Amino acid sequence: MVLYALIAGVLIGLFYGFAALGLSLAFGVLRVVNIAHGDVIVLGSYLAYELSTQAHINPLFAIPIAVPLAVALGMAFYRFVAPSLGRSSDPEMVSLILFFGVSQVIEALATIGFSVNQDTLLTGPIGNGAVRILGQSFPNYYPAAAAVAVPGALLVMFYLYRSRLGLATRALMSSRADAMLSGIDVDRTSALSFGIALALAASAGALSVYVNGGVAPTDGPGLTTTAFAVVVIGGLGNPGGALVGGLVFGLAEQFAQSYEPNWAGLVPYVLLLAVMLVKPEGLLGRRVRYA
Amino acid sequence: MPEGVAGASGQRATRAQTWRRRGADVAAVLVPTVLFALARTVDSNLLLLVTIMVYVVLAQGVNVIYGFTGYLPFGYVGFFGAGAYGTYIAVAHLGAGAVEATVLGGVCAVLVAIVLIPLLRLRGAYFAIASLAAALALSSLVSNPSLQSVTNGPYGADLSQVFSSGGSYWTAVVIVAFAMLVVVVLRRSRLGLQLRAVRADQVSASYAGVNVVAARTGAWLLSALLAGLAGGVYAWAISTFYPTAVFDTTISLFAIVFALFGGVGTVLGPVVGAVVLYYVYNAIGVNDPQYFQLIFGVVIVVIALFLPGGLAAVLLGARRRLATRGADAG
Amino acid sequence: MPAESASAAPIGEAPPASALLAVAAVTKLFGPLRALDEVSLRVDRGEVLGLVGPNGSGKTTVINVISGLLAPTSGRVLLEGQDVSGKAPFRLARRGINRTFQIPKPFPALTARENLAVAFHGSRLTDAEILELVGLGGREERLASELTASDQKRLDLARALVTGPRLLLVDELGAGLSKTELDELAGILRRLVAELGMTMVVVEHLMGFLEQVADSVTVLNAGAVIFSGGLSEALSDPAVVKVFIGG
Repeated sequence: MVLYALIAGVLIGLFYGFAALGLSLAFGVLRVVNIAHGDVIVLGSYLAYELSTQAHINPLFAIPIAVPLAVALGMAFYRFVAPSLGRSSDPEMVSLILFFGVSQVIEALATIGFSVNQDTLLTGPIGNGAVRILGQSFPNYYPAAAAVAVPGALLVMFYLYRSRLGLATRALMSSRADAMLSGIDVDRTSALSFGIALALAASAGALSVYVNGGVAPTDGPGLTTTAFAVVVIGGLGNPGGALVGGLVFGLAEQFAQSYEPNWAGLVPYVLLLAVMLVKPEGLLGRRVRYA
Repeated sequence: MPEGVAGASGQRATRAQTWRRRGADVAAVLVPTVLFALARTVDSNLLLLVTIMVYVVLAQGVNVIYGFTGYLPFGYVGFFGAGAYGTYIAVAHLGAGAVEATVLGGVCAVLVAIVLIPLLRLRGAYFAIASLAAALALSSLVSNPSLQSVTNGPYGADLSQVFSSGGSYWTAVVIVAFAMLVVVVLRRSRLGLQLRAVRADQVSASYAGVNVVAARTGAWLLSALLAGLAGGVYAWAISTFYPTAVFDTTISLFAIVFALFGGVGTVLGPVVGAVVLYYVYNAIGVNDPQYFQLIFGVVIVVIALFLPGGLAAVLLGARRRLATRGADAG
Repeated sequence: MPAESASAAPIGEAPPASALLAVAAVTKLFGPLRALDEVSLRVDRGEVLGLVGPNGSGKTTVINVISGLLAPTSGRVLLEGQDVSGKAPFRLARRGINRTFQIPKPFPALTARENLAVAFHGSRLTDAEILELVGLGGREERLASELTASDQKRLDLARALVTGPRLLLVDELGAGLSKTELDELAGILRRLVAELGMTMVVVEHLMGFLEQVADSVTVLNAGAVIFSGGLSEALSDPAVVKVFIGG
């Protein structure tokens, strides 16, 4: 049981980290928590679901379709709201309320489009067989989720730490004012980062339809809370921390499910509250300024 | 009504102004109370009226915590659910009467708020989401099968032995009056002034000798008390319910949107917001909740981007423009 | 009691009990940065101590530590011989320590009168008298956000005075003010000392301002005290001259 929980925790944890990466990136750049993050994941899940059930192609193809769409939408959205937020006296609170509204709109549209019931994909991402790892048997979406999450996260790290645009993004994350004075096109960089953040969320959706046992329009807030817990555990605004947070979260969840299934539902919330109150800068975070 | 007008136009408060202000305060408490008391002669659906009153109280509770301190509680429903379950436990295990049980529901929510005081160390989005996590944790705790002997776990609570549609209705009217009183008194009180100062600048407030933590905690507990009473009377009115019904995060959402729509920091804004929007919801939302949610979401986006002061700010802006135009003419 | 650190100059022979404020070997670290290095100073009742030093020398940090905004990493702050280190600002405000800010932050949505009404009242002067004293008479009903920068400084000072401080910490009152405004504020500070017997620590860049108000000065450099004594001696002290001219 220990071995099972350990492997499952790592595999699912990597996925959680990936699913939370966009939230962390959006926070780093916009200094606001995208409450609608989970709803974007839901949209990604629906895309995967429709591809599989209507077009009969592998649901993972949702990722290459969703990425350009999400980047474009995210950039447009940023351009639309940035002027209003810039004028506000309390941009953090206002954007929190704004994203709260956006989350409601997405949830309503998803309900209108796909009905309120939960939809479950019966075919797995790579057939239906179980996968054996170290003598333990797992549904095949466990390793599939990890196999998408790891290169996805590496790609983001490569972008942030090896590309010129990524350097500008990191500069922006550490100080908006200094970035502006250094001649960085802050608006364009922010818009692109926000687009990438949404693309990451939508990509995670293609797998969360399995990891969550399906997709329903109302899943958004729960997914946002989970992603937020993951990001806070690792340190908000620190994309690398999201992966560590995901691992901690995945392991805690899997061990709780193995040993105390009745109380496993409490784990995400208790973990989130504990980290926020005891070490708000995250397990490996430098202290970040917030509010 | 809102402070901007009184502050900007007033020179030294004259006796007449003082009386007018007191009159407005009394009216702010009495008018909604009397209207709700009379509402049963117009609309015989008492459960609907109780539900609206519950949302009026919740919107005022959000007003107290968000309007006065700037802490946005996404998990506000946690206090509502605590109130509902406190009431259930009081009736089922302590043999309390329904009215006492409702009060105990309020007390139960305050106890939860006391446990959650450390959350006030967090700010902004951290606080908002932490409060949500706390509410979800509480919900998961209450509906846990291991606690069946106390809360009846996921199988729901039954209060039908004390059911009284009239009793719960009148109790709700009294709670509305109490909520209005809390907000009016808070606005005029020293605590209210301190909270405004803390909201404006925490450090300056501290050097003005304001105990920032105590002031904020006061608002937090008051706000929890209102939600707990609302949850208690709601539980009484609907009689049987599942944990998912009284810990539904939609309840937080409604309360926050009603308050924002009407205008936080004002006395009547949240009342108007709750009544108007809940009637709209009742007209189109019950059958087609997704369309209502869509409208709702758009309203929130519009408020966030264009109308941070809510309906009250729009009306006041119009009034101020009229006033200046009148002054120019005269 | 105030442990004389190696870097501090002698601070007088009187027994420490007569000092209103004693700062004893206070060190404040910000991560690896040593913002204050065993700083000791004392201020007697009715004395006005000028605190000077180049940018980043730790003047405002000293004020922040004394007024409770920051807790010292080590060392103690004594008010009338009692340890008040690390107490919350609102408690110190109620015990008689208050301060002004280099950039004042009055409550913008509150009127001048309300800005004072919100405060703990420890002064024997009425709010109206205090507003008159700082030169805000007639502007009681203005919103703080509508006041000029100079009037906001006056309001900040009034807010501190309402709590009835025995020790007032004044942080760069002169910054950004005209000569006339500066002289007026210096006059107000002198009245506070003469008429209310107030004790002060005044952080200031402008020597002209200090000459008008300070009885003695303490010079900080890189977080350490390099001089304590009269203002004119300070200006001829080679260590001080080196910091100000050479630094």
